[in-house]
Amino acid sequence: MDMTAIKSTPKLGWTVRRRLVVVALAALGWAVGWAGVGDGVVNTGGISGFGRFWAAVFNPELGGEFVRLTIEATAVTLSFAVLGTALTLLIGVIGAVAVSELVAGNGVAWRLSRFVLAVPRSIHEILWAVLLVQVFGFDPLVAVLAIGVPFGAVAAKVFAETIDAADHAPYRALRASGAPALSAFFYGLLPNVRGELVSYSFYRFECSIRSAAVLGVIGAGGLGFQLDLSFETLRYHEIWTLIAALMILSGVADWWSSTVRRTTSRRVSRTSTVVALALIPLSWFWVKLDVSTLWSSRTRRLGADLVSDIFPPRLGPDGWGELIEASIDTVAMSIIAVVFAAGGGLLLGAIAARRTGNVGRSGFAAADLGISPGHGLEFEPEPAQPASSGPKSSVAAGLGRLVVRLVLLLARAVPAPIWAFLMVLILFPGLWPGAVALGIYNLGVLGRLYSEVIEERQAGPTDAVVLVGAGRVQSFFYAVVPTAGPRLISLTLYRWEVIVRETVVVGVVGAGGLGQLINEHLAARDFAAVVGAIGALIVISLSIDVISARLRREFV
Amino acid sequence: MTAVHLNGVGVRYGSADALVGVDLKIASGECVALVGSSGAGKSTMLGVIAGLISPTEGAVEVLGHDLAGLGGRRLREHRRRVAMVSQQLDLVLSLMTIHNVNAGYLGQWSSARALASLIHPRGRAEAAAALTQVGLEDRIFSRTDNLSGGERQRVAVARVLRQGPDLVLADEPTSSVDPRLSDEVMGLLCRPPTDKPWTSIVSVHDPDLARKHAGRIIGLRHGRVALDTSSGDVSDEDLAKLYQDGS
Repeated sequence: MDMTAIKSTPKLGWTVRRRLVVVALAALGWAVGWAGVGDGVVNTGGISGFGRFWAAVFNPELGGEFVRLTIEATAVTLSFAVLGTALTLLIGVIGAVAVSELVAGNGVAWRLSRFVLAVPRSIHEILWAVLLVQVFGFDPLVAVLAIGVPFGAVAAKVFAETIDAADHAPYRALRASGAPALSAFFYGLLPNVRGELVSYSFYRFECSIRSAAVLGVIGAGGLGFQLDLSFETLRYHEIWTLIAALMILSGVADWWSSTVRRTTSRRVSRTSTVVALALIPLSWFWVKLDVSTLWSSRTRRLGADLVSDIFPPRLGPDGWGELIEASIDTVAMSIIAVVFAAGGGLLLGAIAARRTGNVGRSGFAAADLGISPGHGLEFEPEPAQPASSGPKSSVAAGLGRLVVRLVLLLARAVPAPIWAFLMVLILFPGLWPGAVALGIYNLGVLGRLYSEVIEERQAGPTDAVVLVGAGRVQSFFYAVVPTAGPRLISLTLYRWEVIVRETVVVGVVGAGGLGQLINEHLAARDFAAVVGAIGALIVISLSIDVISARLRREFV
Repeated sequence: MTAVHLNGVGVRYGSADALVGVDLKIASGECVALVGSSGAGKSTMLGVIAGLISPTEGAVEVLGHDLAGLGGRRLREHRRRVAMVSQQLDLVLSLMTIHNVNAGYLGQWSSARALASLIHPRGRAEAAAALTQVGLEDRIFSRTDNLSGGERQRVAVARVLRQGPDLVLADEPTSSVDPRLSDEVMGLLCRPPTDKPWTSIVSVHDPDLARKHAGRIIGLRHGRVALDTSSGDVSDEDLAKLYQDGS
């Protein structure tokens, strides 16, 4: 071709994608710079302990006594999650009615209730727990309330949005024929959104399991608590038994939740609902939940004490400087963690995803289908053959997927504070252990979400590039990522919002940021300063929500 | 007796007139077909009579009540006597047929009773009677989304029968079904298979359907009543004028 015919190369301006990459890199660069790099990061002295931890993988503690303890602890964690979810749904349904535009209109009361629900959402479960422990002591109620209150606020928002997005014509028609609002709601609206509500409820249950494990670490009991004990006494063999139990519990919950969310069979969702409901009384009995504690005189006294300790919230002994520095630490930690989680999650999530599409699925290339350059256009892709063709490659691929899925499950089943304990062995205290711990944990969460998005995307574009002879990696970047891209970006930005709140989880075990500051004030029983720092965290969380929403509008 | 009385009714949306100076009396027991091109004001007029749209001027009297002065409990009681059928039918497809039929009767039930009925259906005999009248007695426990389009249309009519209203307002109930079924639905709305006759006002696109079933035809054009005559007297030219462009 005569290149001189082209006067100049067309210029590509600042496309959305380019700007996104620049923004992400700039944020990461700043965060890494703030956290510090160089000799002061990796602690070579702890590598042997780190090695011993991983060496114990194949040698978990399987003594009868410890296995029984593990099973009991698993039941406790499950019970917290079940009861926490039950409370979540109770608050969610009542709250949804209060904040749904359809039911509540959009007057002053509606605005106020939206705001009231935004606050519990911004406070992480673990902070609810440390405050509630002051009132109830180490009572199962703490775990149930700590999960149910913030999750309930989230569920209320989601349920309200679901209700507002549903078709309102049947509801209005019933109202027009004189039906009371509640009857019209049950007949005209609820049946239409029931599927979505059930599916979201199971997603919440899945989150509650992980949350219940984290709450254990700060003393609520169950698997997290046992993990913490074994870690402090360096019994790595026990740790792996407990981790296995967490992985099974979390894996079953994840599987159940995604089965219910994807099913179109009413029997599956009905059976699941019945089983879930049956778990509530069993859990109640197992942890001996006593709701009368809620209004006992001791509760009232301690509650009043706490309230008078808290108000008015104030700065800690070191004033604004300390608070601002911890706030910046928190933001930097969250950025490192989300980039780590997104990068790793994309890589592992892509491998974990089942192949979709007609061409790629059973691993045979275009040539196997007998396409030669001569009759390219007449070719119509055959429907996928079941695994019979190319069994060798699909067994290997299946095994690879299984291993990656287990790695993702391990990453999200182990509570972030436990990852932080582990990271403290090889990284000097500072922002890095916390950021990496949050990164690992969220890598597990995001990897799974990404793989679902990748599986559910349209298959056409991938087929097209595979048919022109693109390899695995090429087709991933040219077809999979662009097709699923907007969903992936918006999931990542939502996750960033969650991670900002989660920084307190690793902070409470001493890994930097506002969480660590809160932990120090707690140790000094300076509750007014605790609430002051929580206030700073709420401000940061809400600001990040705004930034994330802007980025979503811009890039998705 | 007068079922509906519109007196100088006008409706403005911003700067657009949807209805202008409409004076109209409809007697009890009449079946009125509302015809006119899209945007002529048919849906607005039905909305005004149903009390869903407040007129910007004029007075609306329905079943002896001045709608402007009606509120709270009395409004609810009034609404029980008025049934609406829209083009989309407003059925909840994930519910069993019986619940969609009973939905017509919710105005008479307490919320608790309504909720209980979703679990253990009440009013089975009444719902079955209504469904028998539209020939769907064997589908009482089928989920509504398993029914064909025509069957759903008849469920919507059964819901009206269950409600037992004095006035039925139907907004293009026949626009999404085949001619044979349109004929059937129009017949049911104009000549209810019940011993308690009702007044019905039905907007339709097809003038032939209007002529065949309704006793009276009201034509709207640019928000004004352009034609009001008994269906026997309406001529093809009258109808053609109604659908002409320009003013």
